[in-house]
Amino acid sequence: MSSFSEWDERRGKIKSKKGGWRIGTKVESHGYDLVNDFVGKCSYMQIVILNATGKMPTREFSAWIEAAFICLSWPDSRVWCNRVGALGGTVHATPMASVSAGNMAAESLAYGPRTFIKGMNFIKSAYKTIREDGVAVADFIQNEVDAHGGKPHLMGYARPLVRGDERVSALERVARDNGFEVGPYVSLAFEIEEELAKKFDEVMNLNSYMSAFMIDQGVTSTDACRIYSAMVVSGVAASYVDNVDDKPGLFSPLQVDDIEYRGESERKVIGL
Amino acid sequence: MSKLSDNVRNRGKQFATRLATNISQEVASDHNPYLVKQVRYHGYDHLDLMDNCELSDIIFLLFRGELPNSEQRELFRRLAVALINPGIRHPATQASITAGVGKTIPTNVLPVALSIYGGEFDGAANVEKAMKQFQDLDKKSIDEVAQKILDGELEVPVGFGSLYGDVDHYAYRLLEKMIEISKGSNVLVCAKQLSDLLKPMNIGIIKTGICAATLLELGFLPKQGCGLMQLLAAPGLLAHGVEYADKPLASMFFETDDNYEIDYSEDDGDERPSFVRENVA
Repeated sequence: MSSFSEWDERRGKIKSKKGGWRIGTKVESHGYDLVNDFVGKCSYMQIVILNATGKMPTREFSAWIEAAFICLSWPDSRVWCNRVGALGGTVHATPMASVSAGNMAAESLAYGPRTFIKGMNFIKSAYKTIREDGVAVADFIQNEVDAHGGKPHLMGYARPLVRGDERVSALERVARDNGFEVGPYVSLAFEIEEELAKKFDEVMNLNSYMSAFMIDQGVTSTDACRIYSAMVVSGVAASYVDNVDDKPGLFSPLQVDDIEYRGESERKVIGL
Repeated sequence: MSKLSDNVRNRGKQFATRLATNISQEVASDHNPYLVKQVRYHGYDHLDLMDNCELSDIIFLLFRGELPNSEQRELFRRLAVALINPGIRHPATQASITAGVGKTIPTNVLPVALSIYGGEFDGAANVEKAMKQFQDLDKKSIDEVAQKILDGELEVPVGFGSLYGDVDHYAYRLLEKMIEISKGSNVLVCAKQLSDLLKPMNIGIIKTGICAATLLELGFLPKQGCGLMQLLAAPGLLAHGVEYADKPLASMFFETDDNYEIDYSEDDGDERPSFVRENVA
C-alpha cells in the first residue's frame, strides 16, 4: 500500500455519512427521505440540528435551541458582529456578503459559539470538583477567584458591559414550557451563581446557562459549535438592513481629525 | 429557578471615542473634513511610495513599520512569490473555482477562497502557532528536539508534517530558495535542520512552516502571521476562480451518482443523547 492510497481511494468519488441527492429518486438525509419525511413534518431548526449533529432532535429541544437563537438576534449595531453587518450596509455591500462577514466576526474567543467550548469545559470541571470530589461550592469559587488574581472571573459568570443577563430566565421559561426538568448541570450552575452573587455580586450569563443545559441534554461542545455556526446572522442582518437603504457612509462616519495618529513623523523614501 | 440574573445593571465601562493608529496619517482637505489631501504610511508619503517602492515593500512597511533593507526586501519578496498561488488542486482554489463557475458575484470569490485557505491543511490556520513554536525552538538544540520528536516525547511542531502521506518535497525546495539569500538566518536554518532530521518519520517542512519561519526571521509578530499567509496566497486563489467565471457550470466537477457513495455505517456509536428523537415518523 502506498503512502497516498487513502487519497487515491477518494479520487473522483465522494463518500458521505450524511446523505445526498439521488437524482430522479429522492433526496436522502441521514437515512430519511428529506422531502417526504421532513417537509411539513419537522421544523427547520430540527433539520439544522440534524445536519449539525447527525441526530434528529425532539421538537421540544429544537424549540429551546431556536429560542436561544432569538436571544442572540439583537438588532443593535453596536454589538461587534452586528457592526460588521452595519458597515456592510453602509457601503451597500450585498446582504449575503455582509451577513456572512458579520457571522465570521462572531468566530471569536470573546463571544460567539466558540465560547461554548470554554463554558462547557468549565461547568464540567466544576461538576467533577464539587459533585464528585466533594469540594464545597464556596471553596470552588474561592479557588477560581484566587486563580484569576482575586477577580471573580468565572467562565460564564460575568459579562463585560453589564452585570446580569435577562436571557437566562427567558430560556428557563422556554425549558419549563417544553417540559424539561432542571438537570444536574443546570442545578449546579445556579448553585454557583447563588454563592457568587452573595460574595461577589456576579451572576450567570447566557453562556453558562446554555452550556449547562446543553450538557444536561447530551450535547457536546463540538455539537454546540456546529449547531450555532450561524448563531448571530439574524441580528447582523437587522443591522445591515438598518443601514443599506441610507445614503452610503452614513453609519459611523469619521472625519480625518477623528483619528489620532501616533506613528512616525513625516519622512522621505531613500535609496531602496 | 433563579431570578438573580434578571437584574441587569450597566457596569459603566468606558469605550473609545476616537480611533488611534501608528500606520496611517491623513491630512484633511481644506474644504471637506471627510476628504484627504495627503496620506502617509508610517511617515512616508503615499505618492512617494508609489514612485519608489514595490508592492511587497509597502506590505512590509504596513506591518513592520519600516521599509525593508535590501536583504529583508529580497527575503520577503521571495516569500510572497513562494506563497502566491496554492495551486489549482488546493481545496481553497477549488472553492474559488466553484464560486467562479457557480457565477458567485465577483466580490465574493476571493473571500470564499480565503476563508477556506484559513484551514489547517496546507493553509494559514497555524502560522501564528508555528511562529511561537519557532521562537521556542530558537533557544534549544535542534538535535535534541528532533530526537524527542522521533522518540514520541514531543509532538511534531505545527510548521512540519506530511502532505498526502509524504514529505512535501516542493515545500523543501522553496525553503532552500529562501535560505539561499538569508545570510546567517537562524530560524530558516533551524527549520531546514529539523526538517532533515524528521525525515525518518516521513515528515518535513510544510508551507505553513516556511511562512512562519520567514516572517519570524523578518521580525513580524506571530499575530500577523495567519492573515499575511492568506494575503500572500490571494493572487493565485483569485486568478483561478476568475478563470472559471465565464465557463459553463459543467466545467467544474459534479460527480456521477455512481461516484457519490452514501454510507451511514460510520456511526459514532455514542449512546443516544436525551435530545434525540426516537424516530421521525
